[in-house]
Amino acid sequence: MANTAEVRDDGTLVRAAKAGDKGAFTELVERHSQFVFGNARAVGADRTMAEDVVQIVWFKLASRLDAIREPDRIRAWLAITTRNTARTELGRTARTVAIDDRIPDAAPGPESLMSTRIEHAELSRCMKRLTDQCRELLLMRFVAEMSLQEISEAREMPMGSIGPTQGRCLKQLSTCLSRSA
Amino acid sequence: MSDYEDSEDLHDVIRRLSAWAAVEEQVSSEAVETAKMAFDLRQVEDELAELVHTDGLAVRGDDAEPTSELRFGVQGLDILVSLRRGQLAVVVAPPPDGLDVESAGGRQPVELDDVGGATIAALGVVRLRVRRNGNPDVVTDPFVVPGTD
Repeated sequence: MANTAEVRDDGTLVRAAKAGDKGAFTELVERHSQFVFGNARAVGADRTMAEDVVQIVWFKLASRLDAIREPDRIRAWLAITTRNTARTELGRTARTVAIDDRIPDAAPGPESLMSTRIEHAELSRCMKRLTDQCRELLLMRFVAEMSLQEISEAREMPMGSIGPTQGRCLKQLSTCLSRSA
Repeated sequence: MSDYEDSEDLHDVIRRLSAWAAVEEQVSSEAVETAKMAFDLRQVEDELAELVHTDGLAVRGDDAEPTSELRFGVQGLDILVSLRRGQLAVVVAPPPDGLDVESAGGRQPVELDDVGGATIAALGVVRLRVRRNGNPDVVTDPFVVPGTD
């Protein structure tokens, strides 16, 4: 049987949510919460704060649906709102997050998973050693799964400079990983 | 393109980074499920009170309990919130007809004193709903009531 389930794009979902469709809002939350979480992590929120920020941002969207002027660009709205919210929370609570606390060490697991755990712990350690700019960029790219265009808008960087910067950051990471191998 | 940008090493570090992010840096399902509930608290006629001032942690009073203050405003209404661990104190000026604390878990009415103040036990992400007879409700931006460390 052919799969007739329709995949609604973001703009359609925002317009439907505005009209009172809870299912559309739920779909937006499912689709973009990792993106929101990754953006909060990228600006320095620890895991607990990033998950609080996820809730705050969706609360804000629910309250402001009628004010969203470009429903098709909801990810841009989410990125800006998330980054501003995370920065406000970081400043307000003065939960001074030492760089070492931003990225927790990977937890130990059963023996069968040990090599993966060791590798992830190594990666966590090397991520902490990156420059702030590199850490933010790689978290945006690999945790928030943002496109180069989205990163360019969020960081107000020229599109053309992001690819080379990412290359340099990956090289830094690779160098750290190879030293610890 | 530099040699590195097309190297095996680059592809390997991307693979390792992607695998790390997929395991260690995922938003929890609890956070996602809680976020979905935000829609239930939506009321289209609500008026939004924006955060107009915030103070970071400060030591106040004899008990040296860290406190954080937030001020929300909308025309003709001031909402001052003082946060402590697991608790918020609020003063609304002028005193409103009613006040609710809203969270993903629902809505909790608050009893206000004569000057529009109250102290409320709360935790996590909440917002306040100020009720005014004959006018739309005013809701604050959501904020976090801290728990114990």
